[in-house]
Amino acid sequence: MTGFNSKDANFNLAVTRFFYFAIVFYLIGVERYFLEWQNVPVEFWFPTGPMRWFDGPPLSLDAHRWLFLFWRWSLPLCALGFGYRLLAPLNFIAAFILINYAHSFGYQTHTYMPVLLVGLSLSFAAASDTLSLDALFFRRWIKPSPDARLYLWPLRTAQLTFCVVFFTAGVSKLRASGLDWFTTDTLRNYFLVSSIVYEDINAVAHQFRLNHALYTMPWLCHGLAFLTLVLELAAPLALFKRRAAWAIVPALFVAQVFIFFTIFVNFKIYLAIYAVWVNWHWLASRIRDFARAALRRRAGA
Amino acid sequence: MLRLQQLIAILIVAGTCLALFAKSDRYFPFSNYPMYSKLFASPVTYPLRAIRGVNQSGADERLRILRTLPPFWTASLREALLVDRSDDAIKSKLRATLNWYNRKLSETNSGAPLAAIRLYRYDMPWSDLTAAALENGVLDSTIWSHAQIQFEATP
Repeated sequence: MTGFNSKDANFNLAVTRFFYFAIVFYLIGVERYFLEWQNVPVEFWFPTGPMRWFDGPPLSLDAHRWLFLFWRWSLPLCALGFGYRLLAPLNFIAAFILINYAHSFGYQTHTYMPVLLVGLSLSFAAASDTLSLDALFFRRWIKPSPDARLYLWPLRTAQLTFCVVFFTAGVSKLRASGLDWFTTDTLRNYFLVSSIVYEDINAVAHQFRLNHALYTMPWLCHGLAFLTLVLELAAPLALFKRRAAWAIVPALFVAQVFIFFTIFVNFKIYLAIYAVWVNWHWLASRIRDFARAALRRRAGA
Repeated sequence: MLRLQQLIAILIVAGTCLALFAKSDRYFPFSNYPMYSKLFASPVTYPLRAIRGVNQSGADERLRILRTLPPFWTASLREALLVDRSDDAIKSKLRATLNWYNRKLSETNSGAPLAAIRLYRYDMPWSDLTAAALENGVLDSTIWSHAQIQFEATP
Protein backbone atom coordinates (compact mmCIF):
# COMPACT_ATOMS: atom_id res chain seq x y z
CA MET A 1 0.00 0.00 0.00
CA THR A 2 2.85 2.37 0.66
CA GLY A 3 4.36 4.21 -2.28
CA PHE A 4 1.03 5.00 -3.93
CA ASN A 5 0.51 8.41 -5.36
CA SER A 6 -2.80 10.12 -4.74
CA LYS A 7 -4.31 9.21 -8.12
CA ASP A 8 -3.53 5.50 -7.79
CA ALA A 9 -4.71 5.37 -4.17
CA ASN A 10 -7.92 7.12 -5.17
CA PHE A 11 -8.45 4.53 -7.93
CA ASN A 12 -7.81 1.66 -5.52
CA LEU A 13 -10.28 2.94 -2.95
CA ALA A 14 -12.97 3.56 -5.57
CA VAL A 15 -12.73 0.04 -7.02
CA THR A 16 -12.78 -1.44 -3.51
CA ARG A 17 -15.91 0.64 -2.80
CA PHE A 18 -17.58 -0.81 -5.88
CA PHE A 19 -16.76 -4.43 -5.06
CA TYR A 20 -17.54 -4.15 -1.35
CA PHE A 21 -21.05 -2.74 -1.78
CA ALA A 22 -21.81 -4.77 -4.91
CA ILE A 23 -20.85 -8.04 -3.19
CA VAL A 24 -22.85 -7.24 -0.06
CA PHE A 25 -25.86 -6.37 -2.23
CA TYR A 26 -25.53 -9.48 -4.38
CA LEU A 27 -24.97 -11.92 -1.52
CA ILE A 28 -27.28 -10.65 1.23
CA GLY A 29 -28.96 -7.46 0.05
CA VAL A 30 -31.21 -9.26 -2.40
CA GLU A 31 -32.19 -11.86 0.19
CA ARG A 32 -34.78 -11.42 2.94
CA TYR A 33 -32.65 -12.71 5.80
CA PHE A 34 -32.53 -9.42 7.75
CA LEU A 35 -36.21 -8.73 7.10
CA GLU A 36 -37.43 -12.09 8.36
CA TRP A 37 -36.36 -11.42 11.95
CA GLN A 38 -39.57 -9.46 12.38
CA ASN A 39 -41.44 -12.81 12.22
CA VAL A 40 -39.61 -14.33 15.19
CA PRO A 41 -41.74 -14.62 18.37
CA VAL A 42 -41.04 -12.00 20.99
CA GLU A 43 -40.17 -14.75 23.50
CA PHE A 44 -36.83 -15.04 21.71
CA TRP A 45 -35.89 -11.40 22.37
CA PHE A 46 -32.40 -11.50 23.91
CA PRO A 47 -30.88 -8.11 23.14
CA THR A 48 -27.23 -7.53 22.37
CA GLY A 49 -25.21 -4.38 21.72
CA PRO A 50 -27.27 -1.18 21.73
CA MET A 51 -30.48 -3.27 21.66
CA ARG A 52 -29.84 -3.92 25.38
CA TRP A 53 -31.51 -0.58 26.00
CA PHE A 54 -34.83 -2.07 24.92
CA ASP A 55 -36.96 -4.62 26.75
CA GLY A 56 -38.54 -5.80 23.52
CA PRO A 57 -38.09 -5.38 19.77
CA PRO A 58 -37.91 -1.58 19.41
CA LEU A 59 -38.88 -1.37 15.74
CA SER A 60 -42.43 -1.63 14.48
CA LEU A 61 -42.98 -3.93 11.50
CA ASP A 62 -43.21 -0.95 9.17
CA ALA A 63 -40.15 0.80 10.57
CA HIS A 64 -38.16 -2.41 10.28
CA ARG A 65 -39.31 -2.96 6.69
CA TRP A 66 -38.49 0.61 5.63
CA LEU A 67 -35.09 0.44 7.26
CA PHE A 68 -34.39 -2.83 5.47
CA LEU A 69 -35.52 -1.43 2.12
CA PHE A 70 -33.38 1.67 2.55
CA TRP A 71 -30.35 -0.46 3.41
CA ARG A 72 -30.99 -2.84 0.51
CA TRP A 73 -31.40 -0.22 -2.20
CA SER A 74 -28.71 2.14 -0.98
CA LEU A 75 -26.17 -0.67 -1.46
CA PRO A 76 -26.12 -0.52 -5.29
CA LEU A 77 -26.17 3.28 -5.16
CA CYS A 78 -23.11 3.21 -2.89
CA ALA A 79 -21.43 0.71 -5.22
CA LEU A 80 -21.96 3.13 -8.11
CA GLY A 81 -20.89 6.06 -5.95
CA PHE A 82 -24.08 8.05 -6.15
CA GLY A 83 -24.63 10.52 -3.31
CA TYR A 84 -21.95 8.49 -1.57
CA ARG A 85 -20.92 10.90 1.15
CA LEU A 86 -24.50 11.05 2.39
CA LEU A 87 -25.79 7.56 1.53
CA ALA A 88 -22.80 5.48 2.65
CA PRO A 89 -22.80 6.65 6.29
CA LEU A 90 -26.58 6.23 6.42
CA ASN A 91 -26.23 2.77 4.88
CA PHE A 92 -23.72 1.88 7.59
CA ILE A 93 -26.07 3.09 10.34
CA ALA A 94 -28.99 1.13 8.82
CA ALA A 95 -26.82 -2.02 8.58
CA PHE A 96 -25.66 -1.54 12.18
CA ILE A 97 -29.25 -1.40 13.42
CA LEU A 98 -30.44 -4.30 11.23
CA ILE A 99 -27.59 -6.59 12.23
CA ASN A 100 -27.87 -5.82 15.94
CA TYR A 101 -31.63 -6.29 15.71
CA ALA A 102 -31.13 -9.68 14.02
CA HIS A 103 -28.57 -10.64 16.66
CA SER A 104 -31.03 -9.87 19.43
CA PHE A 105 -33.13 -13.00 19.08
CA GLY A 106 -30.59 -15.32 20.69
CA TYR A 107 -28.55 -16.29 17.67
CA GLN A 108 -25.57 -14.18 16.86
CA THR A 109 -23.88 -15.31 13.68
CA HIS A 110 -20.20 -14.45 13.46
CA THR A 111 -20.22 -13.70 9.74
CA TYR A 112 -21.81 -10.26 9.41
CA MET A 113 -20.14 -8.10 12.07
CA PRO A 114 -16.65 -8.25 10.48
CA VAL A 115 -18.18 -7.19 7.17
CA LEU A 116 -19.99 -4.36 8.89
CA LEU A 117 -16.85 -3.18 10.69
CA VAL A 118 -14.85 -3.18 7.45
CA GLY A 119 -17.68 -1.13 5.99
CA LEU A 120 -17.24 1.45 8.75
CA SER A 121 -14.00 2.82 7.34
CA LEU A 122 -15.21 2.57 3.73
CA SER A 123 -18.52 4.29 4.44
CA PHE A 124 -16.89 7.34 5.97
CA ALA A 125 -14.22 7.62 3.30
CA ALA A 126 -13.81 9.78 0.22
CA ALA A 127 -14.41 6.69 -1.86
CA SER A 128 -16.38 8.33 -4.65
CA ASP A 129 -13.79 10.87 -5.79
CA THR A 130 -13.26 8.88 -8.97
CA LEU A 131 -14.99 6.09 -10.91
CA SER A 132 -18.36 7.12 -9.56
CA LEU A 133 -21.57 8.84 -10.55
CA ASP A 134 -20.69 11.58 -8.07
CA ALA A 135 -17.43 12.25 -9.91
CA LEU A 136 -19.32 12.27 -13.19
CA PHE A 137 -22.23 14.52 -12.26
CA PHE A 138 -20.96 16.61 -9.37
CA ARG A 139 -17.50 17.45 -10.66
CA ARG A 140 -17.84 21.00 -9.39
CA TRP A 141 -18.07 19.89 -5.74
CA ILE A 142 -16.12 16.66 -5.73
CA LYS A 143 -12.45 17.21 -6.39
CA PRO A 144 -9.83 14.50 -5.85
CA SER A 145 -7.42 15.35 -3.05
CA PRO A 146 -3.66 15.49 -3.67
CA ASP A 147 -3.17 13.90 -0.24
CA ALA A 148 -2.85 10.14 -0.83
CA ARG A 149 -3.39 9.43 2.87
CA LEU A 150 -7.04 10.34 2.47
CA TYR A 151 -7.45 7.28 0.24
CA LEU A 152 -4.92 4.99 1.89
CA TRP A 153 -6.19 5.19 5.47
CA PRO A 154 -9.65 3.69 4.83
CA LEU A 155 -8.14 0.65 3.15
CA ARG A 156 -5.50 0.18 5.82
CA THR A 157 -8.17 0.43 8.52
CA ALA A 158 -10.30 -2.12 6.67
CA GLN A 159 -7.28 -4.43 6.46
CA LEU A 160 -6.64 -3.91 10.16
CA THR A 161 -10.20 -4.98 10.94
CA PHE A 162 -9.80 -8.05 8.76
CA CYS A 163 -6.62 -9.09 10.61
CA VAL A 164 -8.13 -8.44 14.03
CA VAL A 165 -11.07 -10.73 13.30
CA PHE A 166 -8.85 -13.71 12.53
CA PHE A 167 -6.29 -12.94 15.22
CA THR A 168 -8.91 -12.80 17.97
CA ALA A 169 -10.41 -16.06 16.69
CA GLY A 170 -6.98 -17.65 17.25
CA VAL A 171 -6.62 -16.09 20.70
CA SER A 172 -10.11 -17.33 21.57
CA LYS A 173 -9.09 -20.92 20.78
CA LEU A 174 -5.89 -20.66 22.79
CA ARG A 175 -7.71 -19.13 25.75
CA ALA A 176 -10.55 -21.66 25.79
CA SER A 177 -8.53 -24.80 25.07
CA GLY A 178 -4.81 -24.02 25.06
CA LEU A 179 -2.56 -26.18 22.94
CA ASP A 180 -5.04 -29.04 23.40
CA TRP A 181 -7.05 -27.46 20.61
CA PHE A 182 -4.72 -29.07 18.09
CA THR A 183 -3.11 -31.89 20.08
CA THR A 184 -6.46 -33.55 20.81
CA ASP A 185 -9.16 -34.78 18.42
CA THR A 186 -11.15 -31.57 18.80
CA LEU A 187 -11.15 -30.51 15.15
CA ARG A 188 -11.59 -34.11 14.06
CA ASN A 189 -14.72 -34.43 16.19
CA TYR A 190 -16.07 -31.12 14.94
CA PHE A 191 -15.70 -32.50 11.42
CA LEU A 192 -17.70 -35.55 12.44
CA VAL A 193 -20.68 -33.94 14.11
CA SER A 194 -20.97 -31.10 11.62
CA SER A 195 -22.99 -33.43 9.38
CA ILE A 196 -25.62 -33.57 12.09
CA VAL A 197 -25.35 -30.09 13.58
CA TYR A 198 -25.66 -28.42 10.17
CA GLU A 199 -27.82 -31.05 8.54
CA ASP A 200 -30.22 -28.65 6.81
CA ILE A 201 -27.90 -26.03 5.36
CA ASN A 202 -25.33 -25.94 2.54
CA ALA A 203 -26.50 -29.18 0.93
CA VAL A 204 -23.93 -28.88 -1.85
CA ALA A 205 -21.04 -29.14 0.58
CA HIS A 206 -22.58 -32.15 2.36
CA GLN A 207 -22.51 -34.18 -0.87
CA PHE A 208 -18.71 -34.40 -0.88
CA ARG A 209 -18.53 -35.97 2.62
CA LEU A 210 -15.07 -34.46 2.97
CA ASN A 211 -15.53 -34.19 6.73
CA HIS A 212 -16.06 -37.94 7.03
CA ALA A 213 -13.02 -38.66 4.88
CA LEU A 214 -10.89 -36.40 7.08
CA TYR A 215 -12.21 -38.03 10.24
CA THR A 216 -10.52 -41.29 9.20
CA MET A 217 -7.13 -39.50 9.13
CA PRO A 218 -6.46 -38.25 12.68
CA TRP A 219 -2.90 -37.09 11.95
CA LEU A 220 -4.16 -34.88 9.15
CA CYS A 221 -6.86 -33.39 11.41
CA HIS A 222 -4.20 -32.50 14.02
CA GLY A 223 -2.06 -30.93 11.31
CA LEU A 224 -4.96 -28.89 9.97
CA ALA A 225 -5.86 -27.72 13.49
CA PHE A 226 -2.27 -26.58 14.07
CA LEU A 227 -2.16 -24.84 10.70
CA THR A 228 -5.47 -23.07 11.39
CA LEU A 229 -4.23 -21.73 14.70
CA VAL A 230 -0.91 -20.55 13.26
CA LEU A 231 -2.66 -18.88 10.35
CA GLU A 232 -5.13 -17.04 12.56
CA LEU A 233 -2.46 -15.84 14.99
CA ALA A 234 -0.20 -14.79 12.11
CA ALA A 235 -2.92 -12.72 10.41
CA PRO A 236 -1.63 -9.33 11.72
CA LEU A 237 1.67 -9.92 9.90
CA ALA A 238 -0.22 -9.29 6.67
CA LEU A 239 -0.51 -5.66 7.73
CA PHE A 240 3.20 -5.09 7.98
CA LYS A 241 4.83 -7.29 5.34
CA ARG A 242 3.66 -7.36 1.76
CA ARG A 243 5.07 -10.88 1.22
CA ALA A 244 3.27 -12.09 4.33
CA ALA A 245 0.03 -10.64 2.98
CA TRP A 246 0.55 -12.52 -0.28
CA ALA A 247 0.76 -15.77 1.70
CA ILE A 248 -1.64 -15.21 4.60
CA VAL A 249 -4.65 -13.64 2.90
CA PRO A 250 -5.02 -16.29 0.15
CA ALA A 251 -4.38 -18.99 2.78
CA LEU A 252 -7.22 -17.63 4.93
CA PHE A 253 -9.45 -17.61 1.88
CA VAL A 254 -8.61 -21.26 1.15
CA ALA A 255 -9.20 -22.10 4.82
CA GLN A 256 -12.68 -20.58 4.68
CA VAL A 257 -13.54 -22.49 1.53
CA PHE A 258 -12.26 -25.61 3.29
CA ILE A 259 -14.46 -24.84 6.32
CA PHE A 260 -17.46 -24.63 4.01
CA PHE A 261 -16.82 -28.15 2.72
CA THR A 262 -16.00 -29.70 6.09
CA ILE A 263 -17.90 -27.87 8.84
CA PHE A 264 -20.55 -26.40 6.53
CA VAL A 265 -20.25 -22.82 7.74
CA ASN A 266 -20.68 -20.46 4.81
CA PHE A 267 -18.35 -17.45 4.75
CA LYS A 268 -19.21 -16.27 1.25
CA ILE A 269 -20.02 -12.77 2.50
CA TYR A 270 -16.34 -12.42 3.44
CA LEU A 271 -15.66 -12.00 -0.27
CA ALA A 272 -16.66 -8.39 0.32
CA ILE A 273 -13.83 -7.87 2.78
CA TYR A 274 -11.22 -9.78 0.78
CA ALA A 275 -11.70 -7.00 -1.79
CA VAL A 276 -9.76 -4.61 0.48
CA TRP A 277 -6.58 -6.65 -0.06
CA VAL A 278 -6.54 -6.54 -3.82
CA ASN A 279 -4.23 -3.98 -5.40
CA TRP A 280 -6.72 -2.94 -8.06
CA HIS A 281 -4.42 -0.37 -9.58
CA TRP A 282 -1.71 -2.97 -10.15
CA LEU A 283 -4.27 -5.42 -11.54
CA ALA A 284 -5.73 -2.82 -13.91
CA SER A 285 -2.22 -1.94 -15.11
CA ARG A 286 -1.42 -5.59 -15.83
CA ILE A 287 -4.68 -6.07 -17.72
CA ARG A 288 -4.07 -2.89 -19.71
CA ASP A 289 -0.51 -3.96 -20.60
CA PHE A 290 -1.74 -7.39 -21.59
CA ALA A 291 -4.48 -5.94 -23.79
CA ARG A 292 -2.06 -3.53 -25.48
CA ALA A 293 0.42 -6.33 -26.18
CA ALA A 294 -2.36 -8.46 -27.64
CA LEU A 295 -3.49 -5.59 -29.88
CA ARG A 296 0.08 -4.98 -31.05
CA ARG A 297 0.50 -8.67 -31.88
CA ARG A 298 -2.74 -8.63 -33.82
CA ALA A 299 -1.75 -5.47 -35.69
CA GLY A 300 1.65 -6.99 -36.57
CA ALA A 301 0.20 -10.29 -37.76
CA MET B 1 -12.04 13.15 6.92
CA LEU B 2 -8.51 11.89 7.51
CA ARG B 3 -8.91 12.53 11.24
CA LEU B 4 -12.14 10.52 11.22
CA GLN B 5 -10.38 7.58 9.54
CA GLN B 6 -7.60 7.73 12.13
CA LEU B 7 -10.20 7.77 14.88
CA ILE B 8 -11.91 4.68 13.40
CA ALA B 9 -8.59 2.83 13.31
CA ILE B 10 -7.89 3.78 16.94
CA LEU B 11 -11.37 2.62 17.95
CA ILE B 12 -10.87 -0.77 16.30
CA VAL B 13 -7.48 -1.30 17.96
CA ALA B 14 -8.84 -0.13 21.31
CA GLY B 15 -11.93 -2.34 20.99
CA THR B 16 -9.78 -5.35 20.21
CA CYS B 17 -7.42 -4.71 23.12
CA LEU B 18 -10.34 -4.17 25.47
CA ALA B 19 -12.01 -7.39 24.35
CA LEU B 20 -8.76 -9.35 24.70
CA PHE B 21 -7.86 -7.99 28.13
CA ALA B 22 -11.42 -8.18 29.42
CA LYS B 23 -11.51 -11.78 28.16
CA SER B 24 -14.78 -11.12 26.40
CA ASP B 25 -13.80 -13.06 23.31
CA ARG B 26 -17.12 -14.84 23.38
CA TYR B 27 -18.40 -11.59 21.92
CA PHE B 28 -15.37 -10.55 19.97
CA PRO B 29 -14.97 -11.84 17.31
CA PHE B 30 -18.63 -11.24 17.23
CA SER B 31 -20.56 -14.12 18.65
CA ASN B 32 -22.32 -15.05 21.86
CA TYR B 33 -21.31 -18.69 21.67
CA PRO B 34 -17.82 -20.19 21.71
CA MET B 35 -17.91 -21.24 18.05
CA TYR B 36 -15.12 -23.76 17.64
CA SER B 37 -12.79 -22.62 20.39
CA LYS B 38 -13.85 -25.13 23.04
CA LEU B 39 -12.33 -28.56 23.48
CA PHE B 40 -14.40 -31.28 21.90
CA ALA B 41 -12.54 -34.47 22.67
CA SER B 42 -12.26 -37.11 25.34
CA PRO B 43 -12.40 -36.85 28.36
CA VAL B 44 -14.40 -33.62 27.99
CA THR B 45 -18.03 -34.35 27.28
CA TYR B 46 -19.90 -32.13 24.92
CA PRO B 47 -23.65 -32.61 25.11
CA LEU B 48 -25.44 -32.13 21.83
CA ARG B 49 -29.06 -31.12 21.60
CA ALA B 50 -31.85 -31.49 19.07
CA ILE B 51 -35.34 -30.07 18.67
CA ARG B 52 -37.91 -32.54 17.38
CA GLY B 53 -41.66 -32.49 16.91
CA VAL B 54 -44.31 -34.95 18.10
CA ASN B 55 -47.12 -35.56 15.63
CA GLN B 56 -50.79 -36.24 16.46
CA SER B 57 -50.20 -40.00 16.67
CA GLY B 58 -47.44 -39.49 19.24
CA ALA B 59 -44.57 -40.33 16.92
CA ASP B 60 -41.38 -38.31 16.96
CA GLU B 61 -40.57 -36.44 13.75
CA ARG B 62 -37.86 -34.23 12.33
CA LEU B 63 -38.74 -30.53 12.01
CA ARG B 64 -38.27 -28.66 8.72
CA ILE B 65 -36.98 -25.54 10.40
CA LEU B 66 -35.12 -23.92 7.51
CA ARG B 67 -38.16 -24.18 5.27
CA THR B 68 -40.83 -23.40 7.87
CA LEU B 69 -39.24 -20.98 10.35
CA PRO B 70 -36.83 -18.72 8.46
CA PRO B 71 -34.58 -16.90 9.32
CA PHE B 72 -33.71 -19.82 11.63
CA TRP B 73 -32.28 -23.12 10.60
CA THR B 74 -31.78 -26.12 12.88
CA ALA B 75 -28.52 -25.05 14.51
CA SER B 76 -29.39 -21.36 14.86
CA LEU B 77 -32.77 -22.12 16.42
CA ARG B 78 -31.03 -24.38 18.93
CA GLU B 79 -28.54 -21.63 19.82
CA ALA B 80 -31.35 -19.11 20.21
CA LEU B 81 -33.31 -21.50 22.37
CA LEU B 82 -30.39 -22.12 24.72
CA VAL B 83 -28.85 -18.66 24.92
CA ASP B 84 -30.65 -18.16 28.23
CA ARG B 85 -30.24 -21.45 30.11
CA SER B 86 -33.03 -20.93 32.66
CA ASP B 87 -35.75 -23.59 32.51
CA ASP B 88 -38.54 -21.02 32.26
CA ALA B 89 -36.94 -19.24 29.33
CA ILE B 90 -36.33 -22.48 27.43
CA LYS B 91 -39.89 -23.72 28.03
CA SER B 92 -41.38 -20.39 27.01
CA LYS B 93 -39.36 -20.36 23.77
CA LEU B 94 -40.22 -23.99 23.03
CA ARG B 95 -43.93 -23.23 23.36
CA ALA B 96 -43.57 -20.15 21.15
CA THR B 97 -41.71 -22.23 18.58
CA LEU B 98 -44.46 -24.84 18.55
CA ASN B 99 -47.18 -22.24 18.03
CA TRP B 100 -45.14 -20.48 15.35
CA TYR B 101 -44.46 -23.79 13.57
CA ASN B 102 -48.11 -24.87 13.67
CA ARG B 103 -49.24 -21.46 12.43
CA LYS B 104 -46.86 -21.72 9.46
CA LEU B 105 -48.05 -25.26 8.71
CA SER B 106 -51.61 -24.00 8.71
CA GLU B 107 -50.86 -20.96 6.51
CA THR B 108 -49.12 -23.06 3.89
CA ASN B 109 -51.37 -26.16 4.15
CA SER B 110 -48.26 -28.21 4.83
CA GLY B 111 -49.75 -30.82 7.11
CA ALA B 112 -51.39 -31.46 10.45
CA PRO B 113 -50.25 -29.41 13.44
CA LEU B 114 -47.79 -30.89 15.87
CA ALA B 115 -49.03 -32.13 19.24
CA ALA B 116 -45.83 -31.17 21.04
CA ILE B 117 -42.25 -30.14 20.60
CA ARG B 118 -39.28 -31.55 22.47
CA LEU B 119 -35.74 -30.59 23.27
CA TYR B 120 -33.49 -33.64 23.40
CA ARG B 121 -30.07 -33.86 24.91
CA TYR B 122 -27.64 -36.59 23.97
CA ASP B 123 -24.38 -37.29 25.72
CA MET B 124 -22.33 -39.19 23.24
CA PRO B 125 -19.77 -41.64 24.54
CA TRP B 126 -16.59 -41.00 22.56
CA SER B 127 -16.19 -44.76 22.18
CA ASP B 128 -19.22 -44.74 19.88
CA LEU B 129 -17.57 -42.34 17.47
CA THR B 130 -15.69 -44.67 15.21
CA ALA B 131 -14.70 -44.78 11.59
CA ALA B 132 -16.82 -47.92 11.30
CA ALA B 133 -19.90 -45.97 12.37
CA LEU B 134 -19.21 -43.56 9.54
CA GLU B 135 -18.63 -46.24 6.95
CA ASN B 136 -21.82 -48.04 7.84
CA GLY B 137 -23.76 -44.79 7.75
CA VAL B 138 -25.15 -45.32 11.22
CA LEU B 139 -23.77 -42.22 12.92
CA ASP B 140 -27.14 -40.49 13.12
CA SER B 141 -28.86 -43.48 14.71
CA THR B 142 -25.90 -44.08 17.04
CA ILE B 143 -26.09 -40.55 18.38
CA TRP B 144 -29.88 -40.67 18.49
CA SER B 145 -29.82 -43.82 20.64
CA HIS B 146 -28.33 -41.69 23.45
CA ALA B 147 -31.03 -39.03 23.28
CA GLN B 148 -32.98 -38.05 26.38
CA ILE B 149 -35.92 -35.67 26.55
CA GLN B 150 -34.90 -32.50 28.39
CA PHE B 151 -38.00 -30.36 27.88
CA GLU B 152 -41.36 -30.80 26.19
CA ALA B 153 -43.91 -28.11 25.30
CA THR B 154 -47.50 -28.46 24.22
CA PRO B 155 -49.80 -25.80 22.70
